[in-house]
Amino acid sequence: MSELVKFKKEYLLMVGRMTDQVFQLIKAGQSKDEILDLLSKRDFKKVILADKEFKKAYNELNGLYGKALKNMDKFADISPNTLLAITKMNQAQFFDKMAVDIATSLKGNLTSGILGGLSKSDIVNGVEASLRPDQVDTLVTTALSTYSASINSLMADKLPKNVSYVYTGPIDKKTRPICLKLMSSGQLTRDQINGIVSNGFIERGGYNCRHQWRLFTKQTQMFDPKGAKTEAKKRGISLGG
Amino acid sequence: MAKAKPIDSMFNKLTTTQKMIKLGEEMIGMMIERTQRGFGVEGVFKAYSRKGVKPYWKRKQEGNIKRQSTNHKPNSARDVNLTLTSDMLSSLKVKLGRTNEDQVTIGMPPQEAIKANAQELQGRAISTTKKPVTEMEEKFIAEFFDREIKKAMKDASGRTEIVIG
Repeated sequence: MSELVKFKKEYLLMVGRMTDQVFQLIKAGQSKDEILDLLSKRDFKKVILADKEFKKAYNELNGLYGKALKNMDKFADISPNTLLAITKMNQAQFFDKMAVDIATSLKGNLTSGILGGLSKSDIVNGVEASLRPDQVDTLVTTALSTYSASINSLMADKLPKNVSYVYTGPIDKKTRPICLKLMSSGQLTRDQINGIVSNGFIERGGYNCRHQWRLFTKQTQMFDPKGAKTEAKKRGISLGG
Repeated sequence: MAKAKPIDSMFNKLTTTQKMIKLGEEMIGMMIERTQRGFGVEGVFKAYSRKGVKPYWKRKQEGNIKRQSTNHKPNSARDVNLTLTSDMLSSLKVKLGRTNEDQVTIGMPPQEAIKANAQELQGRAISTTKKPVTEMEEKFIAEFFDREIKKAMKDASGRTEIVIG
């Protein structure tokens, strides 16, 4: 089972266990006020990471960084401090955020559920609806693809400043307007790209983006600026100046 | 702001390692192109399985898989292009740490390499350790050195390797 599949499974099981614990308190005779007081005072990120099974799966997911890091080391001769900084930034941007999102969603749903007298399954469903397993997929996919895009940036550091890059990837109904704009712009330098979208060389089209910047050569594939313009026209999207 | 120029136009000013990066990027382009045409390093890719109520190729043909690139929907089980979201092929990169004046290394990050290995085990290898590139690609590399590197380097000596890492 992959780290991601295991994490999603443990996430759902943990939500069930946490909700169970709160209902045990009700069973034990604690009042709504007491339970709400308890919920409001606790740091839920700590609470969820105190759940052994969930923490194990979370750490394994974080371990993907270890693998990526090992791989990245082979991609470039960069200092351990730079690697650490990239890793920490990426972890804070995605994985820590995910733990905070899960904690906030759980705390919010438990609080409103207890207040509204909802059933255990209603609360669990509420948590799942506010942070669905497929959204966890999105966070992880984006985290790793952003991490991978930073390799392109390292490569750009080694090449002349005015060398051109092109935006490559699929053009279809799902392609976002910003991605259509970036692909239809043709050849750009890294500075020009970052001028169109802040940190666009690494962030690209944002969450779940299927595109990558590539050094432009005669062999470059999945680069179709005309197709991007046609798709934009078909959907009535203005690509601006 | 400097005007964007293709790397080809500044070739003679590049260092040998930069030339190797360019070669690696061209090789990646060639590998993606042949993969999307349905050819692996050992020839035509093995067809997708037709077993089951709704086999994978049928689901891919419907085009409803999350993040799927609808440009790459198959017409039949034999239409194999290894492109679902394009994440795997897009992740092919020149590995700078293992690229120098004598070699260029191309690779994928681990999460994508797992997918490529799984395909290889099913008879759809993009590249293998034993045979990293096709004969045609080998010819391209040889021509690259004949046309460009030798012309640009005074002392082109030693062995140059293409490594798939």
